[in-house]
Amino acid sequence: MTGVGMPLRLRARLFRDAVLVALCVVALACAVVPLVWVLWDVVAVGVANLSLEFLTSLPAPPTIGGGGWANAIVGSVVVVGLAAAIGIPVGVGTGIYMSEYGANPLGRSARFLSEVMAGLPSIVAGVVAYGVIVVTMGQFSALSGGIALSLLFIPIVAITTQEALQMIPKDQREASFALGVSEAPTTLRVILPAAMGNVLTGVMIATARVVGETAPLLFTVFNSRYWMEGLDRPTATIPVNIYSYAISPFEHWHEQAWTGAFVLVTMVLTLNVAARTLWARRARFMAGR
Amino acid sequence: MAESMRTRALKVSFGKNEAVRGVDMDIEPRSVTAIIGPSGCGKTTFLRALNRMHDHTPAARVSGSVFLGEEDIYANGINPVELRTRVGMVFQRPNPFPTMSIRGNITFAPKRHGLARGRELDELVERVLRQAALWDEVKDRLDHSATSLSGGQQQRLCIARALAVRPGVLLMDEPASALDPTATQKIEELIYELKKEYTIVIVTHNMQQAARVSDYTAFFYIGDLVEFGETDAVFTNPREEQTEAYITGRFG
Amino acid sequence: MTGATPEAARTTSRGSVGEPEVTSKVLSPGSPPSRRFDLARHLGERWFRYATGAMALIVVGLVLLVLQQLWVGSRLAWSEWGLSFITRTAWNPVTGEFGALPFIVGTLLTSMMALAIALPVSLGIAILLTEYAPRLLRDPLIFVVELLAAVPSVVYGLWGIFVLAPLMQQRLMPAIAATPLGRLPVFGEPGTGYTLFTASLILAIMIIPIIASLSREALISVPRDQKEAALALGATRWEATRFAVLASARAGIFSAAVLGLGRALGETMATTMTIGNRVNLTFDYFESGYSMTAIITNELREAASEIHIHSLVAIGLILFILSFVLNTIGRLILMRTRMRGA
Repeated sequence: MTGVGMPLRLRARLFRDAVLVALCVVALACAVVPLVWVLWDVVAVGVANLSLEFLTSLPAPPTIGGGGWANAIVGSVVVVGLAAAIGIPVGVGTGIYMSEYGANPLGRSARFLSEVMAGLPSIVAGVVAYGVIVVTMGQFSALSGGIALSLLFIPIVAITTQEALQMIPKDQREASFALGVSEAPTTLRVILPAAMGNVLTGVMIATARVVGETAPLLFTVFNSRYWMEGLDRPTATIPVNIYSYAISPFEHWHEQAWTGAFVLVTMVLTLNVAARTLWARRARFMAGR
Repeated sequence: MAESMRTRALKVSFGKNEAVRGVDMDIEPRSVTAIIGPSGCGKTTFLRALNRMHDHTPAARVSGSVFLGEEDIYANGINPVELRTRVGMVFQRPNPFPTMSIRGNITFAPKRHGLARGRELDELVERVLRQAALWDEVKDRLDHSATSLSGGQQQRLCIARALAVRPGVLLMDEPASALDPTATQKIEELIYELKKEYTIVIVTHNMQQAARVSDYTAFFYIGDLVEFGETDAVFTNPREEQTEAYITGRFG
Repeated sequence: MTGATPEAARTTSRGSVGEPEVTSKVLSPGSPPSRRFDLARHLGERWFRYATGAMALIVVGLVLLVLQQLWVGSRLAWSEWGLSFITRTAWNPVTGEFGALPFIVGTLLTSMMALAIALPVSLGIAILLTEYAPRLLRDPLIFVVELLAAVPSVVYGLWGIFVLAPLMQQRLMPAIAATPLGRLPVFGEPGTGYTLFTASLILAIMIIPIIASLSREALISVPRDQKEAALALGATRWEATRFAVLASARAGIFSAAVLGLGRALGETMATTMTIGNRVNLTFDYFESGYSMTAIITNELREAASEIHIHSLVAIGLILFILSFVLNTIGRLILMRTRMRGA
């Protein structure tokens, strides 16, 4: 049974065991290497050109150089803000309905259709917002972009809210009922606060997801070289800018695309890390530290 | 083929919690040793130390030594994979592989270990199923899913599956606790037959069962081996007060 | 407030008989006045239910709106060519000839190659994380793999244009062409870096996280005692994983693959930026091609004729149906396996 006397067959099996573990490590590397590579390029190229000017001024023509993406940063915040303003009430409300009153055809279809929408290719959201709002209004607008993004925002929040509410043990609800509190206040004052951490996590994840979305914005908010003039006007956004600068023929714009990518990735990763920390803290708190 | 086992100062801990605290025990070949004690007393933990199943529990730490014949199974150079072909195990809940047929459950390990092939495999399947007193019930449906069997049949299949590796020692962790009385009786008869060829260690919470099937009985209490001796002696004339209290039902 | 409570008692049905009675008694004038403005009580039970129900209705309405828009927006294409729109290969805005086949083929080829690459990698990751990784490393590694999903598509596209495509052109594709793999009919002469293969690689990276995390869930749900049974019979760790764990997790892994494929189909920016954007019905991965998402991205804004717009929206509809079918299949299998696990 010692190493030397080990039968050949067993040695072959153990060898294969080791080879397969090694292959699993290689698989992990296949995921980690591209991630590190992409992030490295974004940081290395992006930070090199990051300046106060980039964050605070309007774009300059490619031949002049300099200029910034301030209008796009503002535009992204506004469009994502619109998506959240529509998406949070609708998503959380739907989630509450599915969890608390959902044992009926409406609740079941809402759940199924939320999952359908969660799998909706983002470009389809853009096509629909284009057809409904851009064509009707006769122009590209920040509003249409916000609505397109809300189509992606709502299902994520609805599903996470429902799941968060259902994670709250049944006895909490019963404890509240036993105190003579009726259903609606129980949900709003007992169940929702208990689930709030996870609901917020869902909102952050949804925000992180839509802030980087490009396809739905291309034919809704379009683009602009100026400060946003109103919700009914086209506006620049960071993701669309990254795309149009990247496929432009100008070296200077390519660099700015990387810098924009750095700003965008920073926003997305911050949201993700925050959501995760919140979730972990909440889990620890609920477990009594 | 049947081998003896000895433990010396065997300790198993999970983090700060010491589940087995220094046990010396000699297990005779071709006999049945029953391990009894109240739940949480370390019976199962002790059993799982005998074939190094704790290797797969990240938090578990084992110290002391366990001898199989004359070899310390925790010594360097001992491979747990090979060890387990010599020390088999049957679990509390029947756990046949649901994705494999009855035959496939039995041939799984012999194929890997290169113990038999082709015609020999068929003979092996029949032999171990007969040993497990299951052959007549399943011979016409060897290719059916193992989950089509009843609970008691599944457990006998698991025993047959363990025998197919030709271990010298067979560890059984409350093998009948999930079964009805008829199935339990069959398992007990089977254990009685098997001890002619195998060394058997069985954990049980059922004292009648221990009295019926075992030659030796070990009483564990909070991680300590309180009493160990021939079953008749332990049950009729226990030396320790704790043992007596437990077997007369005053606690546990 | 007192007037609202008996009404509340009547409307809170939900099978609870005793509680509403209690409610009206306890909250009658004797109870201490609530200092805060209580939104729920103010609206009353019924309104809260209706308000959340209205939100759920909006969700249902939105999906109907999506379908209606896709249908109305594409009907000219269907009335012109019927279902043969799907199999037509022409795409010429000048002559007004349109057909979806090159884009459908491009999308399917890239997504399937992406799946072929991502599935083994994701399985390896899932196995490593559930069966082998030390506990301390597990959570950080899961986080890192999930970060892959957090990077926006357009950033992958940017990286694809400036890093991966040149690398593919100069190194990777010639290298593959030189191996026996290069003799497969799906790999032709390497030329440009913007090819079906480049897009497939980026897609693979992007769908690894979802496949890995769903496979991991499938592996975790296999009862531990199956693995222990295999180990106790002297199986090596790999054999136990392969025969006891993987075999039982097959359905879950299959649904992970289907959902990953669905994700790859709809992926837009990274594909558009690397696939080459050439209307080209080809099965050669080393050539430029087009995908359904890319053609919409590139042409919807500038499409001038009505039939052109309708053809683009028709491609959107096909894309929606494809991803709907895949997602539904994947979800159904997932739900079934989850229910069996519980």
